[in-house]
Amino acid sequence: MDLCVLIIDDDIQRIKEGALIWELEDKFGSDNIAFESDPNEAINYIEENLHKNIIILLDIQFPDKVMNGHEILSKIREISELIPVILWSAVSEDKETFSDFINNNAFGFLSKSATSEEMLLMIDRAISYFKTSLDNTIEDWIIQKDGDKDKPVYFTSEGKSYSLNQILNEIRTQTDVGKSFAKKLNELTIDLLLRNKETLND
Amino acid sequence: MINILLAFDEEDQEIGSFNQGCREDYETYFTGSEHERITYISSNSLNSLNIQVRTEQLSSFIFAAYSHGEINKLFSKSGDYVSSTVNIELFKNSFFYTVSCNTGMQLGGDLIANGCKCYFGYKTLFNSWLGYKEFSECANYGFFKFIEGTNTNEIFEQMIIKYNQHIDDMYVEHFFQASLLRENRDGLIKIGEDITINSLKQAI
Repeated sequence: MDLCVLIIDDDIQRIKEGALIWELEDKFGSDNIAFESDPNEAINYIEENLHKNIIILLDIQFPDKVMNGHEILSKIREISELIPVILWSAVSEDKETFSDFINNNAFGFLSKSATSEEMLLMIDRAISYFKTSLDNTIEDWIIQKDGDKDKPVYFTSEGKSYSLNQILNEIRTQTDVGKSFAKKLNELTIDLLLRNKETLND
Repeated sequence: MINILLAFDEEDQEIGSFNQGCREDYETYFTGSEHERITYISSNSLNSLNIQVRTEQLSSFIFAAYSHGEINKLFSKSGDYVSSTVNIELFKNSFFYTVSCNTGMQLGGDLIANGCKCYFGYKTLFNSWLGYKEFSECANYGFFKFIEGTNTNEIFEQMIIKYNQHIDDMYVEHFFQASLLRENRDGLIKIGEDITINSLKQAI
């Protein structure tokens, strides 16, 4: 699984000097840890790296910046619903405004005073989410396919056609078509269960 | 003898190769067959005028169409060639079989309300995947069963079984295609009377 951790924080220098980063680099490799202090640059980075499984640590407060964490999360959700975004704030959890974080499907909340173990546990949960989500199953299946991925292979009599790369893009950008692929797999699973072709494991 | 009109939009940019493959399956199926009058209608003549000319003198016939569809019409680059608002009355005493998107939502019912005996089609998108014959085999299966004399209620059941066989054979190795085949299966719809090819011939 091609994985990257993106840290969006206005105080990157302080973050880079912390023990947590050493542990992340040790676990995932330094090439797979990215930092952005500018929210717009962070959005650009996400758009350019949608082919990767990105886990985001998002600071909430950005003094003197165009966007704060609430607005950045909203922008990220416009790009994709699939990216786990862990909110990371010095403001205590009980003083934050959470309604829009919930609406925008934030993955979790961590205090900046959290230990490395707590942080890595949250990131492991995000990795587990990647491994078990239907969308990522489809993504992995497409990535492993051989042959020309730009050649149209899927057609509907409505007049639409999609190559594997287009399907991948529809999934990652979570268009209605992209979302429908996971729905189709859910429906197939239910069908197989109802016809006793498969059983649920304990 | 009964007239069989077979319309294939084989030149369409998106679904032309699928339709062409289905047409070849039909041609293979009917090779050597001398007991029916078969007319193939290709993309370049797939228009409402040609449909009118071909059908208006027929008291009963079989019609199959592989092309784009919307809820109330079938269409090609030449425009709508079967439509709830244009020529729905041409299909009296016909067996109407189409592989197209969404026509089961309205066109099928409109055909039956205007004297068509039985309609087979899809009330959802019809999906296909390049290189997977399962999609065309399931799509064509019901038509061939009708020619062989099976009654339409039984054909519907057998088509579901056919779909299930292919879904079950595919889903472990080809789960994505199996999910699309399942969608086709659940989109399949039959509207109208339980008829056979022989009962249709008696209406001639």
